[in-house]
Amino acid sequence: MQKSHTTPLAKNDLKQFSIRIGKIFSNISIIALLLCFSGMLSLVATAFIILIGLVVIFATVGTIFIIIPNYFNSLMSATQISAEISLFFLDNFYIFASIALLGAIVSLVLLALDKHTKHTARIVVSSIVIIIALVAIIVMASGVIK
Amino acid sequence: MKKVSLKLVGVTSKFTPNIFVDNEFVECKKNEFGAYEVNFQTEKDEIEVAFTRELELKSKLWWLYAFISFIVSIFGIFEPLYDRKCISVDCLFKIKLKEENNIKLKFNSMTTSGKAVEIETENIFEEIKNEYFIDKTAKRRWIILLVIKLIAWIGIAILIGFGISKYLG
Repeated sequence: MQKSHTTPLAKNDLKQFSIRIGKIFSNISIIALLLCFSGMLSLVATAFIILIGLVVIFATVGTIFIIIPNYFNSLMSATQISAEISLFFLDNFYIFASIALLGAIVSLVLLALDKHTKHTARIVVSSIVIIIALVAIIVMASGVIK
Repeated sequence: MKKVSLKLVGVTSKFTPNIFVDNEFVECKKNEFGAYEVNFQTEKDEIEVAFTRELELKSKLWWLYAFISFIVSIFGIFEPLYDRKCISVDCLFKIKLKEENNIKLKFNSMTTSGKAVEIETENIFEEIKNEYFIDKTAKRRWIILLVIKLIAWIGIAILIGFGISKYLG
């Protein structure tokens, strides 16, 4: 078959996919880094529950109230368990820090490999995430913060 | 040997076209002024220059890439959006060559009305195709993907709702 000027390039497909994966890991690393420090703020934990609760309401277009009749009351009592959520984030600090670190490294590698387009902003953000996550792990491991 | 210099202006990170010279893919490089450049030599008297846009949803394994992206990005939460407009470019020019050929191609904004590319050159050229168009295949796939994602999200949201409800007693 003769190659026409519109023939898609398999190599480019894979390149676009690897850039997409790089961007996904970059996003994950940023959120994971935020979650690292969420445990220190119980307010964030409360907001996190309310946010998820509201997302569920929007995503189900309100049908969640039919499926679970006391959903709103349950959601409002979330403030009582914010302390538990804070503890959860603190207990899993190393997991979130590791996700942030690994995600940022993978993202940095995949985006740096793209010679066609420069992803300067994301590469800079990933580098910052790597530094912050590394410092946070070292500080926590050294026992300065208990 | 005739020297050909193609300079692409108006190309953004969101839209970097693929360049084909006589049906052969040519890699372009970004210069210090942000324009893309291609330099090559040929013995031909006339070359055919074409531009296309590689849409992610046009690839053969688009469904596999989309599925992997959806899973890796934790059910699409951290996934960058696919191009909603699905605008592609279809340009084909026949350019008669001299000894030195400086061809400047200025890409217009991506709208389906008007020309996609303006050529600035002293060479004689023939414009065969020069337009932006909505890629129907990519658009259809984008809609399919959106519907599947919506169904998945509603299912996941119901599951999370149940989870929260059970956890809160």
